[in-house]
Amino acid sequence: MPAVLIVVAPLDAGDHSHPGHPERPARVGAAMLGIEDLDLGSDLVVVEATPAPAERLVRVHTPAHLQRLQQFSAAGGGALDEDTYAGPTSWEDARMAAGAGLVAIKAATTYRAPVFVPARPPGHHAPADRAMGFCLLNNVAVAARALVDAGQRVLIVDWDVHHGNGTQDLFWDEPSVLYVSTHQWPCYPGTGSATEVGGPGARGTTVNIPLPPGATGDVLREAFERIVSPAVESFRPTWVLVSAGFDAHRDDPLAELSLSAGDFAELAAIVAGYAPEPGRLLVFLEGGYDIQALRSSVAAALGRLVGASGPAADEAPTSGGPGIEHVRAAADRRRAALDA
Amino acid sequence: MSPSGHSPLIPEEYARSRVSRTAGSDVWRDTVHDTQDHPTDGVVVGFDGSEAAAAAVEWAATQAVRTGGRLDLVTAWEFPTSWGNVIPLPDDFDPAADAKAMLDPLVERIEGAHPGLAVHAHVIEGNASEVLVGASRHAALLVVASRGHGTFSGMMLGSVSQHCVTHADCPVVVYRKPDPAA
Repeated sequence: MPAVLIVVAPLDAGDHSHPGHPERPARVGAAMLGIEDLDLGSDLVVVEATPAPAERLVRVHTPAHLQRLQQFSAAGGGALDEDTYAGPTSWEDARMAAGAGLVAIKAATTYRAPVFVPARPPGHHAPADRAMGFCLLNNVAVAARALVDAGQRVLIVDWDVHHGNGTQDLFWDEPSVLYVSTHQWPCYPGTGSATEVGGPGARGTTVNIPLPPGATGDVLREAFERIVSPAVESFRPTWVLVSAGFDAHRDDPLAELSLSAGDFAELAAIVAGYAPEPGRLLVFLEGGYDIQALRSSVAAALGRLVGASGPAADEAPTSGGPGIEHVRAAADRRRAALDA
Repeated sequence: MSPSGHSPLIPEEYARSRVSRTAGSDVWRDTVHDTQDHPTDGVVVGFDGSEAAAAAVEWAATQAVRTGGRLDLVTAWEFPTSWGNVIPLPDDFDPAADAKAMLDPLVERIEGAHPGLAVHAHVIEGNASEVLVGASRHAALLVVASRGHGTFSGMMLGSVSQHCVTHADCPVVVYRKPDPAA
């Protein structure tokens, strides 16, 4: 019997779109189809999202960024940088996406069950003062900051193929947040070296594991076993938040890692083990730009969390690609940085 | 208790007609001044007599069982008005009694289906949106019915649902009865 899965109402932000841009409304539709593939019936509960209140947003973002974004949207939007767009509804869409994480905290507490937040626009590239990398507001950071303000210790696992520079920046000096990122290197945004281990007030609370193109699932499992799990055990989180990008899938057009849907199931199982209980696990959609890969990967990951399976169960975990030595090197470089 | 006779813990806007039927009892009593009967830590569900709302209540009961809390059914009523004026009403017009009569069989059905679940029913005078938001102030979950079908499609919310989603402090589920044809 599957455990219950809570989903904060799908936020496809249908009007937040740009012709030809890969960060598009259909992504959330794909994620929801993945959930439907699990056929959870009454074991799926959909909770409505609400916009993040201003007092929560200013705990993460500068007032100037918030005001600029609101005014930019109101004026009709356009290009915020070479990658990132906003439209007339994007300010409200971004507030809803950020607010969804706050609702997720309450829903997880009520149900003592994991919560999935299929919101867009994504967030992990957005630092305090600007939009970046398709991201307008940092959704996972808004939730994490709310938890830290409530006295919690928060683990953020970011398995998106791109380094979550925004989230890292926001918690660089925050000892109550352990930020872990596996990501392709070299790749956008160019940050995420293993030697980036946290600021003076939070040394060791940033963990970066850069991976080469072609890395397969066994490389990530090695990374978690060798580097991540010891750090998590030492940190002892009370909540686990996942920046769940699915663009490390082998079919994703924006990067070159080689994971399968089955690998995301394995990652979900590993990360779920870090949470002190099921109701302390929140999973936020970040990247993932191949619609079918996104659908199957969401199904696999969430299905593993609740003990259900869908068609994606046929996509076996992968192995044999490059990267094992990179993981060992990252462990050495991290250790050297911490000892310096 | 304040000199006005109202408890300072109950917002004045809700200190109007409010009767409740507590778990295991079929007796309705005045609960305006009874702070101990404030719905708390459970699942609150709105009921307006419709089939959609009845389905939402049955689903909400399963969620109360699942989350280990109590279930509070809330029905709101208001005297009908026209352009702000109270319109003439029949002598036997008693919306509160009508609401209780509507809730009684539903409460009994829920209690029968879920032995051990604490089911409380409340008939509260006031605007439905505001009553539900107030009643869920200390709740773990608020459930309101949607007239739509399907789980993810048809995201148009009615005015009551929209108000609840926007103003409730707790998570809100807008329950849509699954489409049997899907």
